[in-house]
Amino acid sequence: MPNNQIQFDAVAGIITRRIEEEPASKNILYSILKFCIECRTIEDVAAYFEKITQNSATLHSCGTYVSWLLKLNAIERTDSLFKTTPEGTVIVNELSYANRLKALFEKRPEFRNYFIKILQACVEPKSKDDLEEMFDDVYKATGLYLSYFTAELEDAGGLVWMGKWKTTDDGTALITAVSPNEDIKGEMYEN
Amino acid sequence: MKINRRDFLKTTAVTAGVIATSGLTEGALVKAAHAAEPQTRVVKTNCRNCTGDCGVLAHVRDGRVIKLEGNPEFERSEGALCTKGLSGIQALYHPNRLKYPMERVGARGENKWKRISWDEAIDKIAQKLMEVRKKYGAEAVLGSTGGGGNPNFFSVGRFLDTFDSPNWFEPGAAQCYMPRTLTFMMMCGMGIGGAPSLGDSSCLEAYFYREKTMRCFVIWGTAPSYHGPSQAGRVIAEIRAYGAKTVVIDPRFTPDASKADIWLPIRPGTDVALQLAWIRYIIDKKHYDSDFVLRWTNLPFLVNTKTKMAMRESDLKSGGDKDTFVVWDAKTKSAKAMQYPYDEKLSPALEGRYTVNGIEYKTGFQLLKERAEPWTLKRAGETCWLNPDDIERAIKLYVAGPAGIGLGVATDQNPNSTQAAQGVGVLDMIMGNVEKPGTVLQRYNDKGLAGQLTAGTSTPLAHFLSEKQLNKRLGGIEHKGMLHWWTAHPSSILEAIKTGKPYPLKVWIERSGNKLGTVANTYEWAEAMKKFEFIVHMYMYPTSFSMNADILLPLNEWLESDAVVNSFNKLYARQAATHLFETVNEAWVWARIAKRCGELGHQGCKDAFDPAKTAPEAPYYDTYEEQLSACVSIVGMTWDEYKKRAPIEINPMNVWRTYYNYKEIDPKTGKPRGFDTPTKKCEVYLESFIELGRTGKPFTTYPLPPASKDYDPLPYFIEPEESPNKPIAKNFPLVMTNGRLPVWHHCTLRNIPYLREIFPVAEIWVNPVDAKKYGVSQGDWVWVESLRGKTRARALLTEGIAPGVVYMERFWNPENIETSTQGWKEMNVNILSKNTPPFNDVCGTYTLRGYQVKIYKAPEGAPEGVWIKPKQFQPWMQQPSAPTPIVTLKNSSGGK
Repeated sequence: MPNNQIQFDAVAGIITRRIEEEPASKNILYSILKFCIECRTIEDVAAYFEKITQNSATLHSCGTYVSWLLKLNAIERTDSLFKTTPEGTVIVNELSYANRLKALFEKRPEFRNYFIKILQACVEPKSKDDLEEMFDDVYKATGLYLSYFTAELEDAGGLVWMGKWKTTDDGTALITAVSPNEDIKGEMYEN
Repeated sequence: MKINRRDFLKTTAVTAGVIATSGLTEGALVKAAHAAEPQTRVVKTNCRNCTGDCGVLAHVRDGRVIKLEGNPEFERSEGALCTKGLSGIQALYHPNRLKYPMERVGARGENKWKRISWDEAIDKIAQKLMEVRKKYGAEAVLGSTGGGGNPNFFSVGRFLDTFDSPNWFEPGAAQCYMPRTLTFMMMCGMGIGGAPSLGDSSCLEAYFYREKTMRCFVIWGTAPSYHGPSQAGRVIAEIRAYGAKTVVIDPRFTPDASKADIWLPIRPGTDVALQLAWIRYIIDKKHYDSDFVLRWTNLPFLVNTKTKMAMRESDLKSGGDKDTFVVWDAKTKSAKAMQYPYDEKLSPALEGRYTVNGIEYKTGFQLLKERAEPWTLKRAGETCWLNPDDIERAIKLYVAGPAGIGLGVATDQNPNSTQAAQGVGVLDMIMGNVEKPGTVLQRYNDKGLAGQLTAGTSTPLAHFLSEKQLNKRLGGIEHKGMLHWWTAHPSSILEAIKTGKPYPLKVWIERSGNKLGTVANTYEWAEAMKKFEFIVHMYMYPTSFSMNADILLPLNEWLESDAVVNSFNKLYARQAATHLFETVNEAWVWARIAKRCGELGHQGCKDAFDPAKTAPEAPYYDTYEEQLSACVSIVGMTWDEYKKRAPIEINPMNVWRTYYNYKEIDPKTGKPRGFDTPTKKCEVYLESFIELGRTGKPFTTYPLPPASKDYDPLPYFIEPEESPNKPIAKNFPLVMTNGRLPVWHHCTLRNIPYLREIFPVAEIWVNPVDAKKYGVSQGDWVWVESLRGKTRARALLTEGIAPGVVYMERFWNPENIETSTQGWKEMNVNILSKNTPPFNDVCGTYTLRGYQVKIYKAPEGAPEGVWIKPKQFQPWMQQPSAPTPIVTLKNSSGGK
């Protein structure tokens, strides 16, 4: 493999690891990377950051996140414009919500129906309490609480927290494309 | 026992211990310092570098603490102060102290921070907590404490209860002290201070050594000369000097063992086997106190052999009382209900199997006897790796009495934990070693004040935690013994962190030193904690754990903090001698977070400031001083008044200290007071354990779902899962144990330069026979490996540990926290320890001692970057500066 390919993969690997090391900020970092695939001014980035974090208890400032991405060579700055690097772009594709949701469904086929039903329910935003009422049988059926499922879907990019849980565009695309299997209420699963 | 005296002194650091004793605090070894000059003020305070709380006189000049010495006024220590206490100045002025709240700005582990204000820090934490609660539920917030005896122990649990999260833990708890406090509380109603723990300042009868009442003290799995040179260690030396015999049961040849009449170097993890042999011998030779057993234990009661429950009068006849128990009357050869306390008309059988209404019953004593029956001296010798004759000699010393057994943390640290506490309880109770002169199990009349006031600002507010949330406590249903301290199960927590099942944990607020030095199977925890969205660490200085945090909060050292302290019948005041930077008492931090969460809409957090809602416990207050004043309002004072008047006598000594309290007549009933148990007797047959497992009683007012199987009402031995008798021994032939050293308290103080100078690295004690077998020489660096991983230690070859056993204490390296190891990988014995089943059924204890390892020479030598030579610790020494004024913060920024 040519050296520059090795270097490219190494940088891409570092970016992936670094993003994965920030569980609270993973989707924010990913979203900034995706946003900057087109050239953006810092004002654009700041406004976008404000929009995607308006309902979140964000741990860090926009400037901190951008500085991390610059340090990783995931985005680059030319004059006053920010753009995702080729390595960063690869990560945007690899860590896309579509890919992550697909991986989640492959990893946890036994919970497919619950995932789909929760995504369907959250097309209209729902609170945790709303969902717990709708899925009041989930603990008895699976030995798991509702938050297990919402956390998994959030990590995979299917749900986003906007003061309530809301299905993302990728989540909506997924549920449009698939249909749930038979109703699995009452079945117990090995965890 | 062949042991070289020079090796003994080196091994035991007796030299360091001797410096600490009271007779040598007259300045004989040090020059007079500025401390003696008139401008110096002396603050009476108490150490908190361990749970001993020794009295201290802190000399303060120009706002700076310049000298520490023991306070002769404080009875338990009588003016002694050990090296841990003396290190208080180096801890206070350590250049690496956390000074201000800080927020992470680099990656986790990069150690890049920016200073933020307390308001910013509290707001950020509260905002995140409230978000997590809305998204995943309050149970997704995890709290933890530790640090080797946090004086605000329940402060974490208090906040979590207020927040309605059931999940907090201490790496101690089920692995440290809780098995004993739980078991003794349920067996004889002793409060937390009543469980026999030399390290936790109980076993107070020994402190009255001048009376010469205690004639034998069995020191079981504890090393008081190591963990408490100023108090328990000194006291053991005194009782020996006054003619008492001592028996030491410990894999290590400690200073206590070196002076003991008998040393039993027991195989780690086999204590219950030895206890059962003692019980068998005592029953067989009829050494037990039959009068006490018949009258004041539940052993004569008939027990249904199928249900395992004691027979009640209501089982015997319709309309009978369910709180009156039944015995077999030898005179009438029939089952008879026996009214409390004792019916002189009856002649209860102590042994036997009987049929009543077609159902088989045995007496509790019969069941105990059968349980102990297989444990002959020979079998115990084989199992425990002891000489049966030595076992017998030890028992004979004990039964000669009056005697008591002091336990330590050792028996709490493997899955046989509660059974080991039961075993000791059984022994002392069948011997009648209860509330009589010279015995360990005692109650003291302190009007309940000592416990209330010392818990003071951090009582748990358990009633704030909803039933729904309590049912979600991780590991809580299976291990209901944890209800005693109201904690969750560490291994169940780890599982939830790793897998998100049964629900994810998203925030971790930790108050203690270095969790990565104390939890079992450290690598798993280190990997799993990366999944947390938000980690807050509050402590006095950064540790390995801090490197993984998002916010750091600076706490007071003990020299900066006020608190209530108790010694015997008196209440003392720990008083701040000075205050540095923006450090605070953690009780204030939790109150601030609760306040902010209340402002953000959390009703429970708002209610926690309302005395009507928190009653009978105190609410949160805005300042720490108000919290302290609320605490001491029970004795009719403000905190300022209390400090001026302390020490305060709760009761005169002759009222505080009385014997045979169980015989005292209760004026309400006209009957003896008995013990605080359901039967009012010592419950040697611990039926309450069965109820605990099935329902959670007595710790909950509503029933919880049952554990998967009943807890056993009698002690039983479990051969360690990793054992020298099992196939694992082929590759991992040595049994690992841990234990205290005089300069450390659990995982604390590894950053103190003078203490590190004495013990710079972790040592592994290896018997010369094993050393030869594995090619290890004195002072070699070796790899120590278990199924979980490997770490290094420096070999100390000594006959002070038996062949087949190795000893290594916990350690971590603060000098390396900025490196890739974060200071926890170099010589950390908990990389090796075991966090997987089996667990103790009652408390969930995992395996910190008594698992298999192997050793081999480390050609690499010492781990990279570790400091060993004295000069290397220079960067941690405080530097002199211009005179420093005392800093007092406004209440909104931390209070005093």
